[in-house]
Amino acid sequence: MKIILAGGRRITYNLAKLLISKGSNVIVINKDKAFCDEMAREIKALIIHGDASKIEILQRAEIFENDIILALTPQDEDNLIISQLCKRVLKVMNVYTLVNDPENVEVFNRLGIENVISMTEMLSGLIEQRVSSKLTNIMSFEKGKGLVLQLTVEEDFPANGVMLKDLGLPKGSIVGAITRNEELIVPHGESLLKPGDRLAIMCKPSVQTETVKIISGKD
Amino acid sequence: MPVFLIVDDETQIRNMIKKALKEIEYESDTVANGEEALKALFEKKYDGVFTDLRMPGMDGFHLLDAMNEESMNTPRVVVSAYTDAEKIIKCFQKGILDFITKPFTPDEIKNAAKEMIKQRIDIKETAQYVKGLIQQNAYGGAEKYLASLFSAYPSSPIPHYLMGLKYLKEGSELKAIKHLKASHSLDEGYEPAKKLLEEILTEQGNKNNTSNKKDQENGEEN
Amino acid sequence: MAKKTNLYIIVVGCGRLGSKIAGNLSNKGHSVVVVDKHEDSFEHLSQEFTGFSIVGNATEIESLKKAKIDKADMVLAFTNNDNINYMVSQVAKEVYNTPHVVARIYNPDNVPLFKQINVKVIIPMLLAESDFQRTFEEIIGE
Repeated sequence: MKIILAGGRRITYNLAKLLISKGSNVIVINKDKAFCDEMAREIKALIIHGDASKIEILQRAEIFENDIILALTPQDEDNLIISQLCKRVLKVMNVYTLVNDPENVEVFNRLGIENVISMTEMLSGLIEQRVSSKLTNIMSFEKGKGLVLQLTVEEDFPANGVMLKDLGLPKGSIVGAITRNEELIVPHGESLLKPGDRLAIMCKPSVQTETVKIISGKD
Repeated sequence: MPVFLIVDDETQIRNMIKKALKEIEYESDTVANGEEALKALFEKKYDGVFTDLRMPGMDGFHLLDAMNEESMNTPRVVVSAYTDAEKIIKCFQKGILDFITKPFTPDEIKNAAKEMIKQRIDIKETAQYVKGLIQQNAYGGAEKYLASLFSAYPSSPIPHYLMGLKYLKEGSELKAIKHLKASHSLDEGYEPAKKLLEEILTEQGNKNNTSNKKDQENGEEN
Repeated sequence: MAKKTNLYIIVVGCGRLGSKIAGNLSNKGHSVVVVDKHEDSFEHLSQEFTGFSIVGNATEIESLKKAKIDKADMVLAFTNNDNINYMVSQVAKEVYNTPHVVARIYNPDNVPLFKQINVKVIIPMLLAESDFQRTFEEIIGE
């Protein structure tokens, strides 16, 4: 299985490095010659110089149906055509598309591109959560069926000084780990929450708000 | 055939609206600013007005104000490149029927024109209908039509006359007289109100006379 | 259905071809809206053009909404970039169900992709500008 990174600069470089370090087979396609040369020097991957929105360039990467492709150019129209060529012509199943204009997220979904990544939406989502509570991190898994929240307990939180079993967390929500003074504690029902505790909570999206509210008292 | 007035400083836009209207066989006259529009509205009866907002000289906002000041009841629709809510709301507050943003499609113009024609209540036709309703004692229905007549034709003697007619039929003579008087003062030459008012007053006079007589008779008896 | 004589047509891209076709169509009595990223491009429009012009990037859905793409009888994707033309065409066809969509294509390899979304294509390399009229009549006459 190969991972093809089409277009993009910094993000492509860093992603390629990370994926290669984990043992993935990476192909980078970029139309910028200088960038390709730099990549060829820096990383151990097949580098194809060319426009990924052209079918003959994609064909050069010998993409198979079970490969993964990420369209990462700064132009939405380029990412759309790369994705459609991969999906409709090359029949690639795992296509991930970067969407620069957040308004295009819905548009792309309606055009049959399911896996869209919008930096703007992700960042603004993070900021909103940060503003509304002390939620420091959020990650989703299993295509969004599960969430990991990170929350630091403060003095004025209702959860401060309460044992986990007495919190009354909803079904589908569990505190998986507590980081206290840089030490990771795997908690049990009797664990008492203290200010400064960083909680890693796994929950279903349907109970996210309720969970945060029980612990922090805020939405 | 319905006739519309198109007010826009750009020839192209005037022609596009004119053309769309022509496709559904509506006539139109075109002018380039608010002053010209007012002049045209005084000279001729239009079924509706399409006006731009930003124009040299008298702009669309002022035209709408002037039409309201003159109590004109011609339906009006704004066609403008403005898209901000504030301006749109301002126009609706000035009593427009619709706000079309540029660029417009021919269908948007046609539909607005049809809507304006629907809005234009033919006062004579409606009056005849309301009269019928009153005669059938269908007061509820009559009142509904009367309300829209009052708002569409605030300066006409007809709605007040019909109100008078309704109260008379209901037996509230005093209220009837009040409305008939209002109708008469709006237009002294409006015969139906004048006639009905005279009838009621004469009848009342007779009644008063008879009752006075009765009083006198009673007095004599005492 | 009676043949409409006054179509609402959006032309995306006001280059040499786009501006010429826009002028031609408006002259024929259609309501035409031209969308282009650069305001200077509208200088290409001839005197006979009697329509609207909107400055905007057609790959931002906002610009297409401003042009009232939901009400368009026809969308012509005529920029000098195949990818933009593809995006505009697909959005018109699949999001707004525009009855007629025509795209200009530079790279003939892209033809199958455009055909897949049922978009009429014109390839300047293979088609003289004057031939557009025939293509247009053919589309409208359907």
